[in-house]
Amino acid sequence: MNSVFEFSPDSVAKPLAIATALVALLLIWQATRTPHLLRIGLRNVPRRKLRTALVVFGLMLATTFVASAIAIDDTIVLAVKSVAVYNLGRIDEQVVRRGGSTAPFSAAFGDEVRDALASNGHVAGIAPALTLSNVLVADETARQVRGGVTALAIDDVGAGPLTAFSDSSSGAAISLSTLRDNQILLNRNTAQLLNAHTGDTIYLYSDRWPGSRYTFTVAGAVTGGLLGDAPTILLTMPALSRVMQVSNAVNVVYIANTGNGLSGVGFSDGITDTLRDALPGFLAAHAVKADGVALSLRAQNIFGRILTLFTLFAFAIGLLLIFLIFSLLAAERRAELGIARAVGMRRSHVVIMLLFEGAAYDVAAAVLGIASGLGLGVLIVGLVSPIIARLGFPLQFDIQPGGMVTAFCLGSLFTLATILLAAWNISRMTVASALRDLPEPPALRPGPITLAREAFASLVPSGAPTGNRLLPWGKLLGSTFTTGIVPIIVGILLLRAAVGSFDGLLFAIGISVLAVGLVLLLRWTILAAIALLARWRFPATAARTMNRATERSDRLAALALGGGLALYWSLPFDALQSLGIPRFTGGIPLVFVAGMMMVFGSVIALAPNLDLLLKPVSWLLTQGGRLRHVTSVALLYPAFHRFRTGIGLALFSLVCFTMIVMACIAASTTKNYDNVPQQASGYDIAGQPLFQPVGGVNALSQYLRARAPATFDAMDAISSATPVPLGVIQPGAPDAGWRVYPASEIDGAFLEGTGLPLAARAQGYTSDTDVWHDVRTHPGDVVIDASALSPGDLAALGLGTPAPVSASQFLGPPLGAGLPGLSSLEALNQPTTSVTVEGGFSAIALLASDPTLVSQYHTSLRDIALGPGIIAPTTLWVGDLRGQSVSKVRVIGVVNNVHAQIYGLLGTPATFAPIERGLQPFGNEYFYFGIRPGVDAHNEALALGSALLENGFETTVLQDVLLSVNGPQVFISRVLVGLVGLTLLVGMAALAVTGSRAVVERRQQIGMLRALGFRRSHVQVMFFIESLLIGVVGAGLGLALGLILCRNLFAVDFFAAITTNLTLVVPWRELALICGAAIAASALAALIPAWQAGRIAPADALRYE
Amino acid sequence: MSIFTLAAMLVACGPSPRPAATVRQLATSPRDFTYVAIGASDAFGVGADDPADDNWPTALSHLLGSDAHLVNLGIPGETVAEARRTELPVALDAKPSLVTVWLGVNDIVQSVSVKEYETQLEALLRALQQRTHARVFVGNIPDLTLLSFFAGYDQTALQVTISHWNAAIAQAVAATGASLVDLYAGWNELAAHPEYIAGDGLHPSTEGAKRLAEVFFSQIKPLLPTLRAATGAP
Repeated sequence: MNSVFEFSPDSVAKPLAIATALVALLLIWQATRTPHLLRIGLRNVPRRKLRTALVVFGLMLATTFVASAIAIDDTIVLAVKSVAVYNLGRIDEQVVRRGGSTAPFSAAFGDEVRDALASNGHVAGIAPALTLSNVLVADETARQVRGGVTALAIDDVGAGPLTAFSDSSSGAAISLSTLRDNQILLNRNTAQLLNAHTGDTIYLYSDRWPGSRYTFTVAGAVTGGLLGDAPTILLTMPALSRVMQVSNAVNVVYIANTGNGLSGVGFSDGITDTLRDALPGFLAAHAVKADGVALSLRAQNIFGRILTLFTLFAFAIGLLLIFLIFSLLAAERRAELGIARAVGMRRSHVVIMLLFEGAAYDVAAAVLGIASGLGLGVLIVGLVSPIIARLGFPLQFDIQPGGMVTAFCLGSLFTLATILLAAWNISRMTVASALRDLPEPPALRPGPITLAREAFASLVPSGAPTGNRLLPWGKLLGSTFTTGIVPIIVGILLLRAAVGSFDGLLFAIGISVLAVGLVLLLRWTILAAIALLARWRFPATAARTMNRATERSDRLAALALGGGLALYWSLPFDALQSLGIPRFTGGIPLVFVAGMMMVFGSVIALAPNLDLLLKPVSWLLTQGGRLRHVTSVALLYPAFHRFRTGIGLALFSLVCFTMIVMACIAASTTKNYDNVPQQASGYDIAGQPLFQPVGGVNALSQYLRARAPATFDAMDAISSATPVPLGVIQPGAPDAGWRVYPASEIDGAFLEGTGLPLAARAQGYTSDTDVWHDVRTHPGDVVIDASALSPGDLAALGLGTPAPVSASQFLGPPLGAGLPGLSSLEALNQPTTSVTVEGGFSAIALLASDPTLVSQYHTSLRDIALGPGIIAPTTLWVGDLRGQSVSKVRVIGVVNNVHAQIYGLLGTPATFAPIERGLQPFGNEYFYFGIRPGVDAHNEALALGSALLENGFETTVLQDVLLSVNGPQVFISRVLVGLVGLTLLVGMAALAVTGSRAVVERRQQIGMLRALGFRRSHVQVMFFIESLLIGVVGAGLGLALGLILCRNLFAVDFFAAITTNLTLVVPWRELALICGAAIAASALAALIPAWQAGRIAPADALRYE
Repeated sequence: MSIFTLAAMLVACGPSPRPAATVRQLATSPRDFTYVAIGASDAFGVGADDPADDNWPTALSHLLGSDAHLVNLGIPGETVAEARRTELPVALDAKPSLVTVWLGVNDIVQSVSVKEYETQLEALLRALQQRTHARVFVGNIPDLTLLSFFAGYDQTALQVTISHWNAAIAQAVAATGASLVDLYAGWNELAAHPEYIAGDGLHPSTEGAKRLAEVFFSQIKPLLPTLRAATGAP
């Protein structure tokens, strides 16, 4: 997988390049056939340089959108891959015992691997190694300890890049051969965590050698080679063999492929295939890096969906922009084109001429678009990278040539296609009207019966050319569309297909097409009836009656059709589910089409009826006294030129809509992922004694106050938690039964509510303080986090659905469980030693030890919510899974777990005393420290570790581990925020271009108004009002529709397939800024050319060509 | 596609109903009668396809009617002595109208003496008798020789053991005024229905749980009006 998009830009580059080349050849061929049209078309390009610049700039924006999206995609892919492989260093494959056992095997098998891959040119290095996980390292000199460290010894013969280590400070190369048996090397992270330096004395502890320790000296801190960021120490092979009491044995063979560490993953399949045949049955080769990359990219799939959605909307904006610019360009030159038609140029010639001119703009725009897109991509990545640098993984701007070819070709082809469409649309003109710049007269439209008669008459042999004989058939076919017959048939066929395939998109399109057909049929039927009636009863005024009826029916049809489409596509995606009909499938295309239909439906409904809708505004403005004539004219033009107004309104709405949707999605992902301080719940440092218990918060505070007063003074809050393995039953719940749930005895600041915000209180409690008072003083009163509540109760409380409790949270501390250094995963991996029980709850204890069963059997409290923020005081019975006694507790508060980091049923030690009697403390004491503002958390973490060295106090800066866990999501969330900025920037430019073009093409009209007595300021006010009108209506539409689409997206948990806990966040301030900026950009862009136009003498303006 | 399907889909496109307003009615109303199941792995659902929903107390509660509120205290592996410590306190607190007790197989497997078993069971039943108003139904030991799990046991000795334990159960039941559900006699169809037993050869399967519930229900059914009258349930 080379893209986070739902398509790969690289894969479409080749066909797109071929298609572009073919189109270019076609244009060249046409140019050789009609060189005069080429000359006329190209002559317009240099005639007005400013106008050309504006047109090219506008067209360029479409390519800019695509190019920047693809550039960002490439960079994201590289970053995600880098993160995925960061902990694997240069390891591409590894050979281990089948089943994952780390038991040593003969080093001779390392030689077998070498022999098997000797002839493989893609292998850069092979290193048999001995590893020992979960080692506890204590630095006596720095007075720090760290658990969960991996000890590693490598046979470096032929290891190649796997042992290409360098000093983490100086970057100087370091060879393993210089390492002595009493020395160790630390990887960069271990050195930082231990604050270790060369020469420090290190002790190694492990449950493999209880009661004793091994002493080493630090030889340095290294990076590179096979080392990642996970805490690792390097020993010599004899030293680790001695520690592990093995001889001539290894337990893993690492393999590095050729390439730069990422590019080699493509060779993994071949290498693992070779090894599969060569290795003995008990060993297996795994392509760890390829698996890691694939897994990581899958995890980021949510962002791929968002990027794809953004790109599709960006395309749509680009195309609409091109269409509008070209329509305005042609409208400006309508008289000129009329003359061309008058002197004998055919309609096809006009189209070809405009196409040549457009092609010239197109090539320039595509090249500039690529450059500006890359520039914007660089800008976004540049803005994001300093923040991301904190994560410690490399980030660089990465562009794949295929992506840029795709952007160029897509930009060129779509621009050309849109120009063709616009040119064809413009070329439909009556020469006389065009010459006098008058509106097109209504076309004579014969009924379908007349058309059918003419079509059949054309079958009779005559001397007419074939083209002319086919024309009546074409008109007949066209009439079946305009009368709604074809749309109705197509709609029914689509619905049948959709029901068969359960395709949500097809179904919705089918409904829409059917609705279009029905409205058109109704319109045609009514008009036909009126025509009959008018001819029969009032033959003298029939034509006038029909004109009026057609105009009104068009308005009504537009209102019904557009309004209906907008309303239908605004419905929630799961609307069908409320009637028990299975949910139709749909993905990004459904969302995109929904967005487009909502916008275009609204514009179709509004644009033809704008004059009616503006009547109140018009009345208000005309009360303005001296400027009455100005406001009248300002409102007249948009209402008169409905098509152009509609396109402008659609563009404005779509730009605002896209910005609103992206802003909401970015705010939601940011809130859910980029919220490290919130995830840490206000605490800065977590610590746990690895040697011996400290004895609770009070003992720790007293010790610190006496031995490390400066450190104690730096603390704002100190809390402690001791996990309790708990069985829980809610007797009041329907079908009550025993379940499991994380639980902890809490003390210190936790019992004041610090870091445990309440989302609900039991009935009768007027404040959170009262709840915490009772938790502290009434043994048996507890709080529980929101994940323990059933979906119905969460909804009743007005809470979102938190991520369900996982195995890493169960048996872990309440805050930050599952994070490196805080997890009880080791305990879970060895359930027999951690939850050793006979009888009693033993079988339920096993549930807690099995990650899959934990999710199935965790507590889901039901029917406790009474309303938003209120629960019924709820009785639970609990029992320690290791014991055989139970105790009654009362839930009086629900802790908000919106950031999915606070889990557990939490109470005082006194609450759990009855069930803990006679049992050893389970797991460990965990301490949480909140430090005063301005104090450095890393320094205080080291100070705490040093002060409590005798207890083996391991400290972890919470923000560091949260950032490393959430790194990719944080990064991409911030890129999304950057994308919103990009959309705003390019959207502003697009609106500015259309705003200014709308004025430029009306220079002649300005001259006319000036000649009639309008002052320059009047002209400016007129354009300002006009722009403001389009801007306000467009921004309002975009805002409303964007919010509806976002609501629908998040209501069905659109991203649930990839992640949970993503809730809609509406950033109102940003949305106001977006709408305000959009309106201001459009209005200002109109004012400048209006001001310029107003400076020109009326006579000159009227003569404008 | 029928016109009805199309019409249904069109209607379905209407706005979805909003969540309920602020005040909620809790599920257990005072008029419900509470049924507590004291038991072991079979009550927990071990052996059923979906242990949480296919266990026999849940099946029995469905037979009892929608006004029956089940509190299933079954814990896998429980002996009677353990149930007294972990299940009885919850049962007493739940103020039940109906209690089923089916414990014994784990005691046999763990070689608890029949005298000790009888003492513990009688204590459990007496606590229920004295501290609740519940009608208590106690299942005895079915014919374990029909279960493949016990195939390795001396079948004759096992039959003797079962008869001794069932005698003890009958004694405890008689002493405390509880009702005996004679699974040994009433569930002798096991041989004809191997599908009643799960793959482990010990626990009831989903089908077995349903049948077990029916056996209990056949004895409880005549007393249902009395149970409902006592709690005010309709």
